[in-house]
Amino acid sequence: MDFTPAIVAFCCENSAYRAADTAGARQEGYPSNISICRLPCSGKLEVIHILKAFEEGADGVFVFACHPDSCRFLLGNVRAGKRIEHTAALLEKIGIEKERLRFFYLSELEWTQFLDLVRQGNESIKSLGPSPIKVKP
Amino acid sequence: MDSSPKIGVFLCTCGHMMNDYFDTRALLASAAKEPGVSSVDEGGFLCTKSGLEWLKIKIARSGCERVVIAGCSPHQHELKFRQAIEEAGLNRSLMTIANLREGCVWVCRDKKECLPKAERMLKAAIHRVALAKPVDMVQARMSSSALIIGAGESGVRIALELHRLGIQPLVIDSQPRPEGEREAFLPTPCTLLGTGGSGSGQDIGGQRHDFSALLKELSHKKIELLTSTEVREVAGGVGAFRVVLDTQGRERLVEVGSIVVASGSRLEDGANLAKLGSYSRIVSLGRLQKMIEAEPERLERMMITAERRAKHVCFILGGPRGEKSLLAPFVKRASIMALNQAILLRRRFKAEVAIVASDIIVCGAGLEDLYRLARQSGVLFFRTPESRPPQVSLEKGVIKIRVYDSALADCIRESASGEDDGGYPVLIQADLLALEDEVLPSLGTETLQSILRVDLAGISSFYQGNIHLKPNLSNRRGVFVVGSCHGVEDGGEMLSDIRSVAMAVFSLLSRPNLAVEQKVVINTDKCALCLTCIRTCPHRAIEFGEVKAGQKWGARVIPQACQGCGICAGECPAKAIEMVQYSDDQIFSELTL
Amino acid sequence: MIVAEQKDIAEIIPMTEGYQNILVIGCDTCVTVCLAGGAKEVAILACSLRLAARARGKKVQVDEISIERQCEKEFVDSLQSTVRGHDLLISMGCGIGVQTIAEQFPNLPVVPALNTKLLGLPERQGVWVERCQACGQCILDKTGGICPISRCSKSLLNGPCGGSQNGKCEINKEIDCGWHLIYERLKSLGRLGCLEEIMPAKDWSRSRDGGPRKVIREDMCL
Repeated sequence: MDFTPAIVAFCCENSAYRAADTAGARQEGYPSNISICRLPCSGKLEVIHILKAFEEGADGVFVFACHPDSCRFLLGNVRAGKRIEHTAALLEKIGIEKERLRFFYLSELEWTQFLDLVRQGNESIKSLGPSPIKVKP
Repeated sequence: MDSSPKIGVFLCTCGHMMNDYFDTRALLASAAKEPGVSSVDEGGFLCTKSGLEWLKIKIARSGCERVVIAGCSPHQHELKFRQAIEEAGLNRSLMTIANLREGCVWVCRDKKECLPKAERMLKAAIHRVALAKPVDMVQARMSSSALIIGAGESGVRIALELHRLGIQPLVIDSQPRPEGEREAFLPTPCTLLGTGGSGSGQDIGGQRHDFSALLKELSHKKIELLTSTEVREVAGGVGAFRVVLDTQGRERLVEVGSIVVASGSRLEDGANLAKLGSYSRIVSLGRLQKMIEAEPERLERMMITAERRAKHVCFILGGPRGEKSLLAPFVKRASIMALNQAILLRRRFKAEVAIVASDIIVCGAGLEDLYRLARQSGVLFFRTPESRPPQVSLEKGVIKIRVYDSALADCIRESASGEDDGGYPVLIQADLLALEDEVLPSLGTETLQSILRVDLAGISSFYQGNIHLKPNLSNRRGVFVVGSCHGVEDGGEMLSDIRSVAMAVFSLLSRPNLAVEQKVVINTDKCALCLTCIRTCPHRAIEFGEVKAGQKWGARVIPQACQGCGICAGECPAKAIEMVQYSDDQIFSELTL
Repeated sequence: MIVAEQKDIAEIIPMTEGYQNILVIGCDTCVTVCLAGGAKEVAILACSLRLAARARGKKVQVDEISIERQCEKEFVDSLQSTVRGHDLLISMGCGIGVQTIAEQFPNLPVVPALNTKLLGLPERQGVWVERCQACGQCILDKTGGICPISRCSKSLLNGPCGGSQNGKCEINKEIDCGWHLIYERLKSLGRLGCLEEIMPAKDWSRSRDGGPRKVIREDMCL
């Protein structure tokens, strides 16, 4: 069974979005099924954005925030981390595996890590199979 | 729909690079089918001068009202494109960039994947721009004055520097008279070792330290100095802070463009902290420094005890430390002072010197040399494990220090095993013991922080942002910190600190008006006035009050203080706050997979 | 302010079982301020319910709306046209909101999404504490502005009890002893004498013991 998951990656424009740019510029290649959504800070990301992504048919959602202590808005990344934790619990109760929502800390320079994370993340979502939202009874 | 805005899609092929990956005409053809798209076109290098001109002409000719640029990452040329569409008569926010280069063609391993991904990304960008709202530009009035809190060395110096740059400073101090000694400076090695003889005093960046001369200059330049004055209240934001000052009960409202905190620090005497009772042969580093400079004879006498002919001096660094001390810079201060004094005691007084420390920090120009010099001149170093601090006892006028040396333990353990990990025991006898002082924020610092609403960074000193990028910024735009209230520094460091803060204040306030984007909009009709945004804004850029004179209260954004993180919009329970360029609808539009 | 918290979604999902057209109704007043049932939470709950249904292979329509105050019949009545076509209403208001909706829409089932917790204030962002139990007979004048009914775990009128230790309550070391607070406050006001007055037993018939209560303002009703 060949399944290409649809994945949304929310990226803080101060770190992961730049790392993704560099990863692209190095032409190393990463799964093209990952759509990047740019945010001014991971602290802007709301629960509803993640839920909507699943509603729109995402099989996985990745959230990239700056490392602890290096958010340029002080604690936006910590805020995001807590919100993701809350959302993961909510998803589990809704009936969507919480492993479909992943949270990572990443700096602007860690483009190789970005590649590793999205490649591995893609594989793990692949192994989970299509989102239960999409599976017709 | 006729009422929907016309969207122009412009593909930058990056010098035909894109053509290698996909059929650009096919991409544009599919984009043209999207609702609202009125024109599609492609160009070679849109980021060049001629490319931007081409873009402007195309926008004008096609009569499009919104623009999608498909090309490289927004981090490359977003500003340039925004300016261009502004010059073409459109609002700067009515544009979206589809990152087809870094985000698509360079990402896809298989060229066949490029076109469908590019189509998807372009479609999302078209939907996004269709929902874009124009961003308002606000003219913020910038008052060219600054309030300096603290009339210590750094406060007075920055006032003079700002005055030189044409900013009008107002200096206040909570004490009845200004004191220069409020700053815990590091002595610079060049000043201490270079100048022989005693009484050389403290030099600051090569200038002789003379605080009264600085004060004289202050009054000569007619810079207002208010003593016994405290800050009661701070409202507003950068360019127009409204500050209520309290001079012994008399209140006064001033409006300033910027606030510089130079509240300094204070020292807790090391000899008192050690709680060994008052014993004249146990002194703090600060006291010893003064004695070396001013009372060498007395020091000489103190070091000679009846029982012992040689003069033995021991330094213990890393004594009792409170939670609120400025930790890392504190170690540096003690290290440098002790090294300096150890060398001087060896050279001038021919004393035997031992330094007992768990950590020594000598980062900074010329400071490593100091350590080498100390070693060369015969100062002994004992490194103690932090788990086993040195023990001090007094026996018949002799100070006995029991030390557990970890380095020595390592050497000896190799030959004779079975020793415990706590270090190798060494007994040092000394006639004079010097202990480090504790550097604490000035009294009242915590109150000042809560009034200024700048964040505590774990310690009671001021938050420094990212120390490498913005050492003098606080989390509030327009509030700066300078001097030893945010860490111990030497005179040279303080001077460069002052210069950079003065320039930062100058560049903020040099123009009477600052054009800023209203990045965040609050819908007062929806606002439940729950104060969530006010409590969560990391930059204190939201305050509550009358949105319009005489009307109901609501939350309002201070556009010039806002740094556009969107945390308020993310937290607002009433969905009353929207980021103009990242509205919910726009984020949702990008999620169509 | 009335403080409420959201029910666990796992508790809400079974309430919606068997319904196809659900309307989630938020309230823009207290529960928005206490971050439990405002427009933002309404959107999250509605989306969660849609996802939950789809994850179970069902399809439901969940719509969302938020009104000024669910505790006013007039505001709830304004929902008449919106409610049409729905077979279940979920109230994200306090218990009063749920009941007002039930009264105004007698033919439609309404279920609560919140647990109404207390009358209180935010201690800091995200933390709310109780300050009043609506006992119907305020004695704050005698206790230095600190309510023994809500702040003393035993609601003692003549405290503290023997369980007060170092300013903390015996039921939990995290909880301040209400009567210790009252003592300190009266001391700083120089009114410790107030404590010498023995407060008589409270007339609880004015509180919950007297059946559903009613406030009547004669001059305002015709």
